[in-house]
Amino acid sequence: MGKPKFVLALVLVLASAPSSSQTARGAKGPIDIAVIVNASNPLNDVSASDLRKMLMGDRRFWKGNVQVKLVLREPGARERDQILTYLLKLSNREFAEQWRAKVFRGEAAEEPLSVFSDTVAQEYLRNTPGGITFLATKKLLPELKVLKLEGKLPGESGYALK
Amino acid sequence: MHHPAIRFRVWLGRLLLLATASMVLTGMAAAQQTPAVISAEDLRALLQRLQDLENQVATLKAQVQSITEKAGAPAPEAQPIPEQVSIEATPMPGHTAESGGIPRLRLRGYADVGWSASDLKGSTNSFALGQFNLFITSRLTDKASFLSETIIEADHDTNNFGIDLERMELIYAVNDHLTFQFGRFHTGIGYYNTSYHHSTFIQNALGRPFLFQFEDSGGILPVHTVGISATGTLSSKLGLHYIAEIGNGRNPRAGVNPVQNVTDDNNGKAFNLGFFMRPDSAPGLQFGFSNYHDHITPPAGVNVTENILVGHVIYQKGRLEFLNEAVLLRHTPAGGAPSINTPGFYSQVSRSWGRYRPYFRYEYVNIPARDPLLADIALLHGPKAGVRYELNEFAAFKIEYERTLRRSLDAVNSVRTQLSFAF
Repeated sequence: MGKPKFVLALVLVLASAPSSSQTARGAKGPIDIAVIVNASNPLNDVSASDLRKMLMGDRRFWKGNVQVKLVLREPGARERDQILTYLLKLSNREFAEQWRAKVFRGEAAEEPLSVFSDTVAQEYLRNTPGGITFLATKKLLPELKVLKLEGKLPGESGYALK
Repeated sequence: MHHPAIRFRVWLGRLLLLATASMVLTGMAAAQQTPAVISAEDLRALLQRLQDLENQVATLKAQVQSITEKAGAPAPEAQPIPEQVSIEATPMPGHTAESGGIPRLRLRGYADVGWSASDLKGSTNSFALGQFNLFITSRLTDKASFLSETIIEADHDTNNFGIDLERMELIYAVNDHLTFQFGRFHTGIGYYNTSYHHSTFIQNALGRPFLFQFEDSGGILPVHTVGISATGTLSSKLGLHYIAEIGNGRNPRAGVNPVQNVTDDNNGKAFNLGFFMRPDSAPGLQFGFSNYHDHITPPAGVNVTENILVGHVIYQKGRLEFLNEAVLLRHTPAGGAPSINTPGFYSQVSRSWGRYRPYFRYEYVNIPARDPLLADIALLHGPKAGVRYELNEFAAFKIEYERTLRRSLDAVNSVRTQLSFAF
């Protein structure tokens, strides 16, 4: 291969690779994190304050005396880390310590359930009327529904859980 | 000297050869590894994970197709809310909370070992086993659960081990406004007694404040109660909570357990009522008060009415901890004699820097000489300063210096260390 051909090939290869600016322009941001509950839950809108209380086990019942059952993705999953950081300003370790202390004081029977996939979380919610979880997903089982957070749904301008 | 294009081909050829050899060796190494044993449960979880990833790939493919079709069109700003899909119901792997209806027993443990030395006459420096705590919980139903703390610890004077059932509670949560506890629990006087129980690992300082010391360790308050407790939220917006308790109270006689586990020495019952607030507007702040009331029957002399008024202001947020509690212990002998008031307080501040958490506590209690039950304790006050070092998530090392000043006696200086852990 002569030198001009080699240079031409190199230029073609480099030109075919996406540039960083193209990647940034073409990529959409991550999906918003939805607050998901069982469809039988009469609530349609929830406040950040109430979510904080549920996450910390300070609010244990929905209206109608159905117990709040929190299920979270595993530590390290974006949904969990974002929720803890944004709503509670806690690390996973601090969150675990708070819950251990809560169980130790007898204020909760057990720590929140952690699962390794969106599917498992949705299956849990489908079978649990008081269940609540946080997922970044576009596919939702028909027995579940998305709650508005402070009056906004995921994807709407100003939605808090990114 | 070769032509540059030939040298490039030779270099490229070597690179490809090296990469091929590397892949072959890696593959052989992987093939030689012993197959890992995997349980059926793990397999189900992996399959579920695989299914999840496949779903994500399908979603991504759909997105790519959509983008391709709309090439050139601007991306919509709003993201769609999750689309409802229908999939075949499958049993949930790895979760047994609802299965079978059989309560699950959860056992956790806490323990500590330490060393201490002081300049108190007659004392010796000693290694010491702390409390060996078997903490059991069980969720019985959605609303009912069980909790117990069984402590094995050695007696300071005899070195013999003893077993104490420190807490045994059947808890029934009716709703956010009402939760019952039946059994033996920590009396809801103040903050420390209901937040920190028999694990030194969970509390930041090496030991409890003298005011909230356990009865069998010389404590002056009835920190355990056998009876019924009701707690709940009065106003969620204000963060206002209440606690109401009725129990056997305490037995002041020497040589018997001060916690009346099965028999009350009189028909009068002890009552405790408290309120506290955790305002939403100030996360980490808690303040409140409680009043404990009981009739005590001493072995000699007249009966005594006991009132314990406790107030607390707590701030615990992030790395900072600031605990303040004050107690007024009031004993009123029957027959019109004047009441005897015992004031006490402690203040503790700590802050963590990485794994280190230095702390400082000052405590004070002053029992008048004419108190019918606790006069021998008299005046105790002094500072404590220490450092807690987190070895890992489940173990901590603490070292503490304490100076205790006493009425008409020499001050005592002591150094203590402790390795506390959960298992």
